[in-house]
Amino acid sequence: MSAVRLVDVGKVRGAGRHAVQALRAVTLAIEPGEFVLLEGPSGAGKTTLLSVSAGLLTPDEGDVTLAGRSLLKLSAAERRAHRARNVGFVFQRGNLLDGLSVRENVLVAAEIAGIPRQVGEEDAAHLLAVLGVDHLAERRPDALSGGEEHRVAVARALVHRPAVVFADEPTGNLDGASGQAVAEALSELAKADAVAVIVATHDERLRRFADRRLSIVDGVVHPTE
Amino acid sequence: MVLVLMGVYRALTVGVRSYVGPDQIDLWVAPLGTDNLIRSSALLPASIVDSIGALPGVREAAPLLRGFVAVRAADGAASTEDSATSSRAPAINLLSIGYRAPDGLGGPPRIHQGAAPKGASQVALDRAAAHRLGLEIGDTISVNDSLFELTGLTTGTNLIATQFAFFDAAAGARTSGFYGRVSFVAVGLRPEAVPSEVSLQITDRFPQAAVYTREAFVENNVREVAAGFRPMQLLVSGVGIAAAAVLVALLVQAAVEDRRRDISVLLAMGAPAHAVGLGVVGHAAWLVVLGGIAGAVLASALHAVLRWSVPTVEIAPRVHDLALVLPLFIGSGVIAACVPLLRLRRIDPIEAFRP
Repeated sequence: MSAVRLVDVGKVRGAGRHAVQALRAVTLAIEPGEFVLLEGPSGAGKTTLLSVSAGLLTPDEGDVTLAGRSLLKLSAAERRAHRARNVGFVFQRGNLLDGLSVRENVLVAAEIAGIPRQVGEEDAAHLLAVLGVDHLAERRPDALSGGEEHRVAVARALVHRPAVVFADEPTGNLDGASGQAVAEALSELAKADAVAVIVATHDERLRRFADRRLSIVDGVVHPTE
Repeated sequence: MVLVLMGVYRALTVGVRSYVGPDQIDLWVAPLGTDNLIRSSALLPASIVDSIGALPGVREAAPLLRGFVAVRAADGAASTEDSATSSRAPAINLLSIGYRAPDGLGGPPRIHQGAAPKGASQVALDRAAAHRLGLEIGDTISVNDSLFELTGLTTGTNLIATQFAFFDAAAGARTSGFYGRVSFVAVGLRPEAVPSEVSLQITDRFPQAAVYTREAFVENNVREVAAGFRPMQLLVSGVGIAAAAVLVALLVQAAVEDRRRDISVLLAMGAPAHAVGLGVVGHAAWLVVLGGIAGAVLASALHAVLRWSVPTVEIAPRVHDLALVLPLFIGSGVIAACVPLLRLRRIDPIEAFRP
């Protein structure tokens, strides 16, 4: 069973004369444990593809299957709950919650996914240790470096053992070494748990982690050699 | 502000209750048509006092002559005026009570300092009134141009708009000019007496008199005092609550805007919108609770400061006032928080992807 499967997906963003065909007949499948790079220029439709795949946007055409369930057949509440259990996100700026500690930031994803508190605590502690940021567990996000913040974001994305992680320019704000470290950690941890990862990026240095590369131009997805 | 106003109202009613509601007085006899101490002008013949005192079941019947008197510091008193003559010193109008001094019914409920008046030339004043005139125990004061010695300062006798002055009954008649008349008769009953039966006897024998139980007379007086204060209190409280609600709405709106990215991240991660909304409302409620506690602390501090510096304004803060006001404020805060919550509904989880 594919982690994510899109069949003939089309999506228009905006309205009237500002309407743009962001996705055109996109068909693809990402398998569990697969690390896929989605490359393309700004405005090509990368973020729209991630959003549609994650169930944040509803496609105008086609079908999206996430962790074995067609998102179009789910109600909004069911789609939200399905996303909470099966999707992790890593955003370009980390986007940790300012008011919470590092540990709480990771736990919040487990809590939203409905994972028992103790299990979440143990998994969060394990991931923070593996990512080398366990000593920062009680710090606030504003006390972290960019690299540290992104490693915590990786822990948050994986703590509830999702089917797929969507990462949008996860290394865009990081220096070379930090970016490599974050990508390497995400790749290794995801593979260990058979979590599919889709990374939208301009960063060519991430290619060495990719099992497959896709490019998107004007909403059309092509495989890349 | 609302707590302070409630405290002022409480002090007002405590003052009234402490004077008209002591245990020693079981019945209040008033002229027909008069049902409270504050607003009365009719009088009864003084002979009624002994007649009532002779009724079965009556332990004591005491005359009370109520009126308003102009009080000012006389020569040598610690007045704020430079004038050497009493006629030029500032005067204030006080509610005068002539009673069987020093310890008859209807006298001062509490002596704060000094002693109750003992003779026809002595007076006890509410301590706030003495403060207003700059008087101290032993000073000579002018009451309707008659001179008296200030022997005591009383408490529980401050109605804010005016205060009490206590005289011997004879002095009360002299200052008011109402000889052979009384305003009220304070009646103490024997333990075995039934108040309703004694009341009936009094009204049968004296059709020009009305009789009230202590409880009824207290309620009449509280109602009379509240009639002037309550509308202002309700208005100011309403404005205060509305202002607090607007403040909470603005704070929550600012919180929603400030946390817009956090909220979009939570929504993207699958957090239910109602849970995020509840978090925002909880934040608003917490702000209101903190504001309420800060208000209670400020009200208590104000009480202490006023007690020391401006005794004219009394505040009687009560914990259960806070328990009454806080839910009201939390409720208005939570309702106010719902307005900015509508903005929360417009936050798109996709905003989490924005760099």
